[in-house]
Amino acid sequence: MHLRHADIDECVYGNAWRERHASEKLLLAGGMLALAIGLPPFPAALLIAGGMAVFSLFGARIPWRVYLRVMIVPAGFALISAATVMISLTSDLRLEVAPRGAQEAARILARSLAAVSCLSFLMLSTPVEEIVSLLRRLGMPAAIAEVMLATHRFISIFAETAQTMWQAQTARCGYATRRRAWRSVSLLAASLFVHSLDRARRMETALAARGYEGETTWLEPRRKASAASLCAIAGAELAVVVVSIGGPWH
Amino acid sequence: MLEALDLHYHYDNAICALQGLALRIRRGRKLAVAGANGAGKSTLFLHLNGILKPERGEIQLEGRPVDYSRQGLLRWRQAVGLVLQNPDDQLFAPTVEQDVSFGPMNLGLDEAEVRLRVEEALCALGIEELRGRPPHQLSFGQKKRAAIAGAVAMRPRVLILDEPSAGLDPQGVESLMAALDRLHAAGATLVMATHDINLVCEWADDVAILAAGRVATQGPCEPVLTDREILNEAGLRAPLLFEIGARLRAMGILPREGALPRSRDALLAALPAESLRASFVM
Repeated sequence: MHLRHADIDECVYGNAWRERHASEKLLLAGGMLALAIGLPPFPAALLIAGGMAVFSLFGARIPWRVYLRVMIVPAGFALISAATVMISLTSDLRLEVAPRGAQEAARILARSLAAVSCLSFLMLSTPVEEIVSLLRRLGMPAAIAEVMLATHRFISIFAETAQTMWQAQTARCGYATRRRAWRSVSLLAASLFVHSLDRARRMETALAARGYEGETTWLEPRRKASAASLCAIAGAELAVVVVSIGGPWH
Repeated sequence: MLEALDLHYHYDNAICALQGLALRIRRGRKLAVAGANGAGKSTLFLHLNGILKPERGEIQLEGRPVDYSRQGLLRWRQAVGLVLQNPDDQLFAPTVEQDVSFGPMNLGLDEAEVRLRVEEALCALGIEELRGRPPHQLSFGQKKRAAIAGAVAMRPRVLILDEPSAGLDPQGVESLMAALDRLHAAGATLVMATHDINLVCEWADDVAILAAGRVATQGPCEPVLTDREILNEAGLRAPLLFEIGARLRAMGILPREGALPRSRDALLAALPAESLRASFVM
């Protein structure tokens, strides 16, 4: 049950909304994210978490296995934080449920899940390069764009290197016993950085050979954002606002 | 056309990588640079593209030395294209088409011109149908061709390829070589590093043998690749085609005059099938 880097890549480049303009997906994820943070969590967070799951699974057709695996780690973190909020230490050193603790914990949990579902959707449906080039056009400084691209590239290199090394170690029985496994993991960690740096250097050479001068540019795909979808997304977001402000919930 | 004069270079760990290397690349020719591992092929190529700067000696394109300023290097790298050995180090854009456009965009060309060049490069390498695919999902051979297209799109006058055939299956090598032949027919000067000496024999016009950071010898294929002494010293072997050709010539099956066959097919065609069968029957 572990998530491979390649699984994410497959979704990003193979999902049903791959050909949609990045601005549509960014407006959907970014707008919903802002609402999840800004609006009172009930019912907005629930609506958003549910809605984004529907968009991810049935809109972009991201396989639910991948979706669950991406969601599960941050959801675990959120659960732990919610638990710590719920419980408090009394003056005579006893643990008890804090006053309004359960309610507070539920709000945090709902809000985190909503936010995570927005980011998961974006991450699984849109290549980083498209997001960055859109942000750049929206006025983000070039230096930040380059750092984002470099970081993303480095993560891929790191993940690939680690996987190859792990396979090579496994092939020579490096994980046969628990003792060996600890030793192998420490060796892997020690050389992972050196190996990745080495690969990054070669990549730098390749960039220089093609005249890279500090700004990554390439032809933008000839896609147009659909005005209808943008309106529909804005409409959905407005609906969330209306429902959560106008409803009988508070 | 492109010339390296008395290059010296060593890496931080004090290994002397180049020790007085001199190489001449002639216009419109296919040059193979052959040498054992560690002979200095990759270091030489990084120099030719201006990524490494020699400690002594210089590199000239049509008599003019490299200008190592920012603008100078940009112009230089347009003229002298380099494709690294591992395509994974080079390909990073979301699609093949975008990756190929990276070089031309860096040259500051307008969009129409970039599109034209990308098209031309994809066609030359025979990968038009891969344009929309993400590079990391391609096969190794396809990646190699995509990486080469990235350099070709900059329309270099000299194209330098580090081990383009390494790791390819026979069919991959064949389609790669066909692509290189198309580029050559269109007027490109090609330089290729390899230790596949049989491939050198089939493909190259000229060959340079590298050993211990120097060019041991340079010249047309047949005299160089039949010189066993030099090849042995460089840690290489004479190509099988030439060895068989020379033996057949000694046996009187191939004519004493004229060039030795340079490819499988040429060698097979040169064999008189009938008389051989007759001699086996006896």
